[in-house]
Amino acid sequence: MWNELFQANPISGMLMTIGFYWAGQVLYDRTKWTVLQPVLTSSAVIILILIYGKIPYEVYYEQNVVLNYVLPLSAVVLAVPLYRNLHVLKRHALPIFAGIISGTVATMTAIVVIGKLMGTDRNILISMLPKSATNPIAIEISGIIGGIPSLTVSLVVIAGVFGGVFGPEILKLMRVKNDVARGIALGSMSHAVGTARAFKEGEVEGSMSSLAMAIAGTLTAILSPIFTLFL
Amino acid sequence: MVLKQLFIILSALFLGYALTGAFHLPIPANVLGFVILFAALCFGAVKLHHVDRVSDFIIRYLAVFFITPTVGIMQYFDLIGEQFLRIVVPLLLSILIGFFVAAKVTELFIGVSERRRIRKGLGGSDVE
Repeated sequence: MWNELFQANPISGMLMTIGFYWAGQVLYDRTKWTVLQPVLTSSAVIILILIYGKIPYEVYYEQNVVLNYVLPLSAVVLAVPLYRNLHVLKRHALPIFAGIISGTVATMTAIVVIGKLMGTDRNILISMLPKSATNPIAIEISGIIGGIPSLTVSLVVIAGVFGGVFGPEILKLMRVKNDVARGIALGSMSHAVGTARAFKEGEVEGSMSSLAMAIAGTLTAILSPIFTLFL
Repeated sequence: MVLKQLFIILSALFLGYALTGAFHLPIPANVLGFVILFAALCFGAVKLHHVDRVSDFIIRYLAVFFITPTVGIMQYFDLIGEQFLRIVVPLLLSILIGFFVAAKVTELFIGVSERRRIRKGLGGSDVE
């Protein structure tokens, strides 16, 4: 019965999205565990509710369509944090660009080579190519190159959480000591989640990561159609 | 003025869609919009205080907009279950490789520019 009431009410989907995100944010603020990203915990709870409540995804999607209209705007506004860090970019332009370009090319090459060796589905590999870009950029790329945008969004979240949780420790194991280099790696591989962690490590890491995220995202948009040709 | 800020940001996105549409560019319209807004800030056509409030608000709640697409993964659970290892292995390895290359190349080039600075007699940089 409540299942029909849910589906008939046009607000229920968005109420869940906002409500569970809010709850997820509170949980995150209390625990400060990077694994408990609000987007991850809220999505998991909503998926469980939809599955056990036998509510089709399409219904939930339709009820959240307002949020989807705002989505493209979220990439444009990244110009603001990038501009704020322009002075850092100018001072270390060469190492920053060299690091971001080579890191982005390396991670995309690795997806193609390892994916092909393992025999992963072409659709999945295409959806994985933009995984290091920030979500507003990655979701658009995925659509353009023929990926599955939903899958891309999830892989982007995983790439972010992985780097945000283990990134600094991985860099330590790799004996990377320089703050600039650490920030660049975190931002180019793990976008906003990596950047949030980078700011906890230090101011230099944070601003490096924040500009690396914007530049790597743009670069991924340019390179993705090219890498798709190899798949 | 929130409306003015929203108008400027929407204009950048509008130009992004107009240009990618007119020239059939294979890059996302919002990435072009981002480049346009960034260029406008650099050239002083738009000042930071013309766009900062709306931008900071959207960036702060960025993740909310990605819950609906993330939930959409439930449509592909079968595909993911079938290919689980074939997804996880390339995903994690490619991230590790990316971390390694990005960090090492950045360090290498910092070393290069520092040596160049020392040769010019400017002293080392204050990077570390």
